[in-house]
Amino acid sequence: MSAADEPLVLSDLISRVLDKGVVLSGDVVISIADIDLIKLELRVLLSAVETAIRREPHVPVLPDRARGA
Amino acid sequence: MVPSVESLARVYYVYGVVPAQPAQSNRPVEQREAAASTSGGAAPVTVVAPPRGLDGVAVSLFPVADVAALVSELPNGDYDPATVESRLADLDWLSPRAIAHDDVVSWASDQGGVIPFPMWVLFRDTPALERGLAPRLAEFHRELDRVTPGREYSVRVFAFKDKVAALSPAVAQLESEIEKATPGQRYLLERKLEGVRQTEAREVSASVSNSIHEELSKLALAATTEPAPKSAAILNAAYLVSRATPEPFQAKLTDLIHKFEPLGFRFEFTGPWPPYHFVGR
Repeated sequence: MSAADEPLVLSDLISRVLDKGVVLSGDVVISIADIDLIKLELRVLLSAVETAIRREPHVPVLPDRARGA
Repeated sequence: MVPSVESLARVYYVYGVVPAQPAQSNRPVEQREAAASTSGGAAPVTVVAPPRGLDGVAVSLFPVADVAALVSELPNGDYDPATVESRLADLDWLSPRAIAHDDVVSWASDQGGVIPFPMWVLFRDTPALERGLAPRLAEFHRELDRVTPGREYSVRVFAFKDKVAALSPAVAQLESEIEKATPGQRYLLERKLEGVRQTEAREVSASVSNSIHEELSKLALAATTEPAPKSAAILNAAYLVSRATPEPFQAKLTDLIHKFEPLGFRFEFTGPWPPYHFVGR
């Protein structure tokens, strides 16, 4: 994987690990003191990720995503 | 009385859920072969351990009935909710942690089934973890059955508008009218052409996008599209593709690239990913 590919895969990766998957509870901050589970509010973060995505250079077809990018 | 967050020495970070005892058949082929070839001898057996998680902390499997959570114990000072929230927008802080999270989930996906959790699922202690997961067992079983046979691939398609507009018969016809027009007519037709180009580029793109998605969906176990993240992508899709036989999907994608790239479309293809887009829906 070339250096130019990395930002795209990274921004894809970040958006996947942040807003996809099985959510166990609501999507607001839940205090660990009162409830067992904490799930953090992600809106602030997602705006930062979109900025990263807009900076993307063109990326060629990747036959395989490099592991541990 | 439940102790306050601040008083906790550590919190339990969950990456996802896997079957508690992955069946031998879920292991990658080369490991099965290695196990088979060494069954009679003294050669070392491959032990597959999870990679390190956030901050290089070890990942352990915490069993809950017949599933297990992939868990790291993190120091609470660094990962209490307020601290995490205050640092979320800092990509330099977030990126290595997001990569570590994905590494753990990808490792599990390489072994077999995994239900990825989004980042920042934190529990105060292991009893809380158990209480959080135990009521969801039926759902976890259903999700694991659904996603374990596949791996996720992402496909994005972009259109170069001018080139794509030129594919439209309406644009071609208007251009030929302009050739033959008187200077006065020509001015009006040229103004019209700009609008027609835009509309036709959109229509051609939509039709190509639909046909690509339809073709790829036929060869996937499941498929999903979402709006492109503020870019010009005409298709932003994820496909759950058979891990045993991904070749038909890959061959079809290659055909589509060869067919559409010369016409003014560009493809981005990444994977295999864990099934992020196919759980929790």
